[in-house]
Amino acid sequence: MTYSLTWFLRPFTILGRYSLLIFHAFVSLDDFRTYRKNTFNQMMRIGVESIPIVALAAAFSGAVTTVQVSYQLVSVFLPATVIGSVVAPSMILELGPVVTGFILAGRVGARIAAELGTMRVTEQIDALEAMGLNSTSYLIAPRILAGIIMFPMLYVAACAIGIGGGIAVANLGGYLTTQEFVQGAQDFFRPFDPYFGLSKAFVFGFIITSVSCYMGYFTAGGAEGVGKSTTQAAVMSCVFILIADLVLAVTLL
Amino acid sequence: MKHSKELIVGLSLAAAVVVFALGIRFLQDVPLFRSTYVLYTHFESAGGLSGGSPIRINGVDVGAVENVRLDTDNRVRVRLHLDDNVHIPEGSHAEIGGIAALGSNYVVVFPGPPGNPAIPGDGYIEGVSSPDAFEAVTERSVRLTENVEEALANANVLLEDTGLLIGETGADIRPTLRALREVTDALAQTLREEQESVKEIISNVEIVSEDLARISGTSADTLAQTLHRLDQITVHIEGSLKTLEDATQNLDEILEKINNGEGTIARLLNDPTLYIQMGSTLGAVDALLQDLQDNPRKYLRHMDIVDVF
Amino acid sequence: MILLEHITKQFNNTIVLRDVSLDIPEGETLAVIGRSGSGKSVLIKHAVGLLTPDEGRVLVDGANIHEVSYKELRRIRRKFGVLFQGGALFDSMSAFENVAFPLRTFTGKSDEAIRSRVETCLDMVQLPDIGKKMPSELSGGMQKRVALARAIALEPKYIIYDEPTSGLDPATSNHIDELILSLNEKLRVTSIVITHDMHSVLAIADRVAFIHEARIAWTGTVDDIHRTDHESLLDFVRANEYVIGEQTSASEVSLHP
Repeated sequence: MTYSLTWFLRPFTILGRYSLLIFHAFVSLDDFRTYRKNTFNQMMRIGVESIPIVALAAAFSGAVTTVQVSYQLVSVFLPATVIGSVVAPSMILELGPVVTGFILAGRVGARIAAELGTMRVTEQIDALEAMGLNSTSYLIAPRILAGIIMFPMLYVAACAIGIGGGIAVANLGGYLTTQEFVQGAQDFFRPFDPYFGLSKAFVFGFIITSVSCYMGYFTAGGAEGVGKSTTQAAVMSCVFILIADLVLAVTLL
Repeated sequence: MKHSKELIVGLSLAAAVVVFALGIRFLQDVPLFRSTYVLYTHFESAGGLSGGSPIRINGVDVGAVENVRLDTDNRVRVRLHLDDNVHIPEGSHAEIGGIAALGSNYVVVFPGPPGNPAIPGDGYIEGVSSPDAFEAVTERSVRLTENVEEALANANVLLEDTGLLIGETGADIRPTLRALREVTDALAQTLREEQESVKEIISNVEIVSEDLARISGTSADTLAQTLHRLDQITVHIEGSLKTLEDATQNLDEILEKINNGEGTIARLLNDPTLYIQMGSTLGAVDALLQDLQDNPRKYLRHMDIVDVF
Repeated sequence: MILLEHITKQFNNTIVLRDVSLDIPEGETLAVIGRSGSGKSVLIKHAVGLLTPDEGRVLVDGANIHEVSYKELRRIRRKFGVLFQGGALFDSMSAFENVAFPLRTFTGKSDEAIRSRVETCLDMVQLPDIGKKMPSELSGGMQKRVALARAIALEPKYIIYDEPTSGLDPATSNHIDELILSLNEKLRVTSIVITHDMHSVLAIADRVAFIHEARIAWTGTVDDIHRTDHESLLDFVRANEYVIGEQTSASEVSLHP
């Protein structure tokens, strides 16, 4: 009875602990000077250093979508421009943010969890606290800030490169010309779409960094514990990205 | 070292902002670097127009709608972004084209006399509100049916009365005939007028079906809905035709009675205006019937193209 | 003055500390001894508020550190220097930066002043030339000495040492012991030393607390240890003498891998 109750309440306990951790990280930011350098370091690591892998993934997903759409929508009644009308919005609305999110859940999420987990098991977090620093503000706040600032940047890069990849393959594969692609993209373009994608990226940035910080910060059990946290961080980030993706689509579209 | 890190972060963020802004401009079909100028206009109804909708002159894209807002007086204020090299002379006006139901609206600019000076930037171009082709069809056909039905109902009542009077010999038929003439006059006029509007409806339907054919494939659902609406209109028109046929049959019967009648016939025949009036009325009814019976086929043929999807 | 009153703490239904009370007056060096896993580290984590007791309270200079605000707690913590068992150096920073970190964070000192203070601290732990090295390039013993330099950088009022000499060769161990002694004498630092190295205890401690089976089983002065007839303590001291020999050779292996 007690056991099943505990089991039932566990998700809420975790949610509460997670919220308090994030809250704690941001309420007692006493001196921004202390965290500024850290924030810039994290922006470099989370954002700038992720550009190549995000670019690669985006270029390929744009290219693959173009090829598949041209394969699926072969019809004498459909103009070739339809391919552009499908690929560009898919990239802007869904593929851009989600592909970026998944790649970074692995790359950034795992890294954050491993860093913080190692700091936890080697008592570095205790050392920060014992010095009189707020370890959450020092470690978590810069990472989350870097996440929510740099993810939208990566999203923009992913969209531009993804659509570029689509156009490139459309030309090289002889599916349609750049002009047709662009014409199709422009015909059904809604200015709300990029802002929606941008807000997705913002939310995903927060989810990945905060979930991974939580996993890393509460690591226990030595090297094995660090490994567990790292895996959990990547997996849970992906799960919550999917959930948030659906919630945002339902509420904002 | 520390500075270069901040520099790289700053540069990548700035690049993202630039790409984002230019990307939206590009996809909205606003020229990236070439400047545009702005005109604004007022419409009674935005009718599905939104930011990014194209602006066309004679079918050529010349810019894009920047935004659509409600003014303080509840009129719709639309800002238009026009390419710099497009000159719109004074006296031009703008209309909303396309079908809202299919989400393919655009602004059509009808240029004024080419000799006039161009409207300067931030200027005003007159907005003419033409109802959506679809709404026009529905509205018009309903009005037409009502008109015809009303006229026919009146005619029926009077014709029945006439029949009654003719049966009773010795009664004074003069007021009856006057009334009959008025009725036939009215009927003829209605038919003449409505013949025009029926033609208009048909041409509207043609425009709609052309639009449908062009946009088909993008939204099958909306198409199904559209077809359903058109079907309803057809049923309506067919209903009115039936009433019209009933009425003509009534008229025929009366005429027969008159032809075979006794004392009153001579007086009746002595009034040739009535005869001519009746003849022309019947002619008009015939023409209308012909037109209406032919024309549904005409747009059903367009529907067939659409059915492919 | 640090007061621990009736501290009880359990993890996952295992009682680690049961009604533990200790007082550490100004200027005194208290050695907490006991077997591995007897709860010594848990005890000192309570002293700086890293752990919250299930029952009991901790008073530092009269303030109950589990009742004050987090901001106030952090202010109190700055009176402490803590040397963690594994050193707990920040592995993203060089040795110099590690020692400079508390100075940069909590003092408005100029870079020049910070540099001279860091050099002084590194000299004190006899590692004058390793400033540029990263923690991963240092041996375990050297890491621990850099960590000690970091702990004393802010000239704390209280220093807590968690196993300061474990894993060090005897010469370095002796040096660390001397350093602790001199800090106590020069700066009138109050210290808590957690150790199972009886050599250290005899060299530096004023008073000894022996933790056994989650309780303070014995307290007394260093001299009292020689006269005690407490079974468990005697066992521990005897076993320790045997272990010391082993540890020495083990630490030499770790120093020269």
